[in-house]
Amino acid sequence: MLHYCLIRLASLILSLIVASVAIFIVIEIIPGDPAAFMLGLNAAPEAVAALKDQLGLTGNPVSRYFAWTGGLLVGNFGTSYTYRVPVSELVMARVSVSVPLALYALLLSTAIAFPVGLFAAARRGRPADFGIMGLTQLGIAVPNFWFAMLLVLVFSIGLKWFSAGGFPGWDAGIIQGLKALTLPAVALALPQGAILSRVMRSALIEALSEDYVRTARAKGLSQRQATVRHALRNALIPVLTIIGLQFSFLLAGAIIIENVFYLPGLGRLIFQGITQRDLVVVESVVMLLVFAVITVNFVVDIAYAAVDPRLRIRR
Amino acid sequence: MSVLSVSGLGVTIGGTGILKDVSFSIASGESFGVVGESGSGKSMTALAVMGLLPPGAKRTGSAELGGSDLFKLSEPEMCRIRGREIGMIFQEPMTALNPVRTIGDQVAETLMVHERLSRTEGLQAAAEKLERVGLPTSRFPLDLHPHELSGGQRQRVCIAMAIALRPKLLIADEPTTALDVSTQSRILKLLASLVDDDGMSLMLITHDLAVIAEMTSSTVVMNEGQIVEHGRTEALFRRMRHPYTKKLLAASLYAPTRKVQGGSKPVLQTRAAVRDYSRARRRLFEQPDRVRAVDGVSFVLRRGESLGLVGESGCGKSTLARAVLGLDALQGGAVLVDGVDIQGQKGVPRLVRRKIQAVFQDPYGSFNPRHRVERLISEPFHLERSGMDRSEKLDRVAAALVDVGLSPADMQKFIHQFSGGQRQRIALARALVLRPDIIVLDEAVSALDVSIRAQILDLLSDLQRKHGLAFLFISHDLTVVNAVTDRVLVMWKGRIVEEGETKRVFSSPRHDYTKRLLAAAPSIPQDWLD
Amino acid sequence: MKFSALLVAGGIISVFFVLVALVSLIWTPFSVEDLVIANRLRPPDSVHLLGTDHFGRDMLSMLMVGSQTSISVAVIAVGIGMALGVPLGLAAAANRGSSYDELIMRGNDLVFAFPSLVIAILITAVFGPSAVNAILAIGIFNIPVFARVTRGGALSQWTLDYVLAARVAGKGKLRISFEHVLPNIANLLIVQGTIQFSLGILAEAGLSYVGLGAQPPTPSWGRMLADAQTFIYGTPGLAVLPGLAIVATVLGFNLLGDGLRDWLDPRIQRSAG
Repeated sequence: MLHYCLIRLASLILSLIVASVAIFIVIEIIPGDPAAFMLGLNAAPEAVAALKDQLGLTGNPVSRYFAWTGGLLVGNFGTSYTYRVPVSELVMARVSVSVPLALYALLLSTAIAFPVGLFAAARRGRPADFGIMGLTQLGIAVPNFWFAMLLVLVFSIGLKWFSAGGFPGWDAGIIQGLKALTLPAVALALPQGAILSRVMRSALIEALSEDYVRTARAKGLSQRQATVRHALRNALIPVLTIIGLQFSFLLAGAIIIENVFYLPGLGRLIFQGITQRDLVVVESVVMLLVFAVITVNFVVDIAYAAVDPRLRIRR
Repeated sequence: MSVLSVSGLGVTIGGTGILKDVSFSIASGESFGVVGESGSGKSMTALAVMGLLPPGAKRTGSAELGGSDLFKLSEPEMCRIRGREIGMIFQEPMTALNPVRTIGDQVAETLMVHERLSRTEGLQAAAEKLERVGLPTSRFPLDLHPHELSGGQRQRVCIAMAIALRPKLLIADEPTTALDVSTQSRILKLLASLVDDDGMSLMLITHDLAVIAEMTSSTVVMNEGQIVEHGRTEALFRRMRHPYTKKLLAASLYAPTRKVQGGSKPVLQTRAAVRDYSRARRRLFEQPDRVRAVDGVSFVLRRGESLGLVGESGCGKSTLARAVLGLDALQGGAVLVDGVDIQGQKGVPRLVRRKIQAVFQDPYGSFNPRHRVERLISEPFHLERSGMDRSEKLDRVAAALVDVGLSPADMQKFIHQFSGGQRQRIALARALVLRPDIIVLDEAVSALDVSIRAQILDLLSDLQRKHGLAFLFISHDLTVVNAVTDRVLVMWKGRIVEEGETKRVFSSPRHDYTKRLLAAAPSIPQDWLD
Repeated sequence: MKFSALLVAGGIISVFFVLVALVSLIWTPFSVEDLVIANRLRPPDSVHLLGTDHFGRDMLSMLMVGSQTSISVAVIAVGIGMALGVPLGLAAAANRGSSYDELIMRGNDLVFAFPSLVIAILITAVFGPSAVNAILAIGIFNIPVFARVTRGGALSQWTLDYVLAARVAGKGKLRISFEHVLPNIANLLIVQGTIQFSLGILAEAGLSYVGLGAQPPTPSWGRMLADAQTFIYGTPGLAVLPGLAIVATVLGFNLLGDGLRDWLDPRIQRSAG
């Protein structure tokens, strides 16, 4: 088990290194001179030189790369060109919105998918199953940001249960904060929950056709017992894969949904960065997002080993 | 007194009749055999008794066990019968256990489902049961997972689960078909001793008449969903009243008449062949394990000769086959086809490659399902000199089809339109179409029912005589190798441990391993057949 | 052979939207370049069947032209994914376990760490927003998807004896990959293609919505939704139609994919044939 974790950890670090190189090349090498790019075409050469100096863009690319990543390791994300504050400060404030939102949505989608998938698998081929599968098809087809707009129409403008956007900050209390994140989280969770339900259903149906379920039945377990004790845990393996993949979709989705609800999250930060050509912000926030995705996939890999003993290697 | 008495059992699936009027009764403490070829309905009979038929199946008749009709019981009542009154083990030990739960938990589960036991008590009892089937906790801790055990060991776990509550009846559905001969013999011995000790009845389902002869006291023979003959096992073998039973026995013992042939010219030779595999790395910075699958193997195959290669799974025989076919490179030694070393060359030269062709085990996976038979058989023309026109190609494909007993009109069909036996004929036609000197038959008849197998063996011997072919006949099945080869190689742990005339090796084996292998193979007592 | 209801329904919806996109190339009820501010935010009537938007453009025409953007972006992105992903997957499977296989699979994992939105952000930060960027971003994300599906399908084909038979017949790995393996996993790729197609439509809508996709004045469904959000208090109807168009198209292609999977499934095919 330890060896497995170490191998996954090594691959995590390698992925992070390669990803950071890729991001660095796109942002700092391809545009030619990032400082000139940020200041626009008509900038005075002196201003460009000053900015270069200020951003630490003077050295050769290799040393710049190491300065950047070295800074990231100790929490120094550089200084935003437009806000004139350390990017780490900006990011910390935004992360406290985006990450809870993605986790909230992940929780909701899992909470929807497990019972729905189990129920549909148990009734496969019957009308209830067809009905549920039809609904999940619809759920998959709905763009989350449009669904978010519909939620605003119904629950904010119509019923006035929730505010149409904005975030009071966690200082206003956890309940207030969660309330502000509820509509965005529901909007994010619905399509993902629909996908996860379908995966859950088909994984369960496949597991139920395996020989070991027949063995369990021959031991005297009822169909229900055999499903819960034997099929379910095996079905978790593909479901975990999808949950891992979904986290990156949820994070990306959060960036879009934050625009619908005017939430001060990473998404807003990144778009401000793009419109203001603040490459320092874009570079670091993208790296942060990629770091989150890679880390979650690492966690999923470890969870695999917990579920599937064939991956644990003993000596 | 009978433990189980089935009468008038019929099963239909979606309106198609699967079983018809099946009646038998199993006496207390008796070992009862059910024998038949695939599709005879023997497994379906067991599943019907257990109430585990596939969805959509309907059953009629009755099955009496302990004074009540199993077919009239509700599902919860049936759950109490399964595992407690009737235990069952299945053919495929590799998939019969849940891969994500420990063997201790899985055995304990039988006990915990039926009796009020805590998990600790359950595991304690499971340890006893596993010890009984030959898996003592000192060497096989309860927290092992199935993938850490071999096929035979897994089957023992299945048996421990099935007998944990001392059921009155144990149903074993082809329990040893997926296992090697020596493992098979140990599992059968274990079953026999458990039946003796507990006074339990055994319903043993198999396609193998020799297993029936060794294990059971009475037997039913099934064909096409019906019982064609039943009686005491010995009497049944001695009398053989029903023509189907006669046919089955004849086919299982079938040996085509062939005279020892073989010129002196070697067509295929290996010299000190070595093939290593690297296993997946276990530690991050560790050298991967090297496994020597073929370890210094040398043999000679002469023109027109049949050379057998026997051994159990994992002994390296398939690896050797791949090497002589030039599919994998060797790490050492040489493979000579007609005197030309095919090692160390970049790809096997065409003119050499066409001299050696092959037929594989799986009649279903051996063909691209999207191509017609014409294209399937003409695939090796790739190796032929160029400039062959279409009519010549068609003529040769037609000739090959006729050679293997099919008609030229079959050229236009797709492979799914043929049965398993016909597919092996087509595979032979594909191997023959270039007129090779050597055909490697890698378990080529192992997936076939005995009656089909007999026909293919006949065909092989005809073709050999007609075209002067040399066969390398690879099989785990000693009976077949004995019936069709002139000389035999016995392979064990990557080495050839014994080599000689087939008759001599089978009648007076010299190496210990060969002796053990031959002793392990089940057989029908000779005097029953006289 | 019988077509399932799924296949028929999905096929009809998909063909409908493709036809709409084709027709809009040569004809729309009104030109989407005519800005008639006097006509802005009109409810549906007999002239403007679906009303007008905040610039007075005919909504029906906007939706028709918008389908061009969605469908063309999705088609090209799937094309990029297939053209690069399928050969990579075939090569990885043909050399299973080699360092080459390992390299392709690790590279795949890496690209998976960049959701298409993040790729779009990176490209946009440097080159500015455009429809081409959206295509590239979605297309790059599709490459590992197809590589993985291809490799998985091809690996199971390589275990079958017919591949061995072809090797005994002297055929090389490259030739076997294209002659035997690819045709036998075509079903898989067609089904995955329809799935990626509908995901592409969703992704394009999302990118356009946040301004990283098609730029005005090119009409696109996501862009229309972003514009409609400004008027959501007064004219909520504007936000409904483009959304419904997206849902219907995506649903159509998803149903088509599911229907094709059942229809092409060799197990089902065999019992029918």
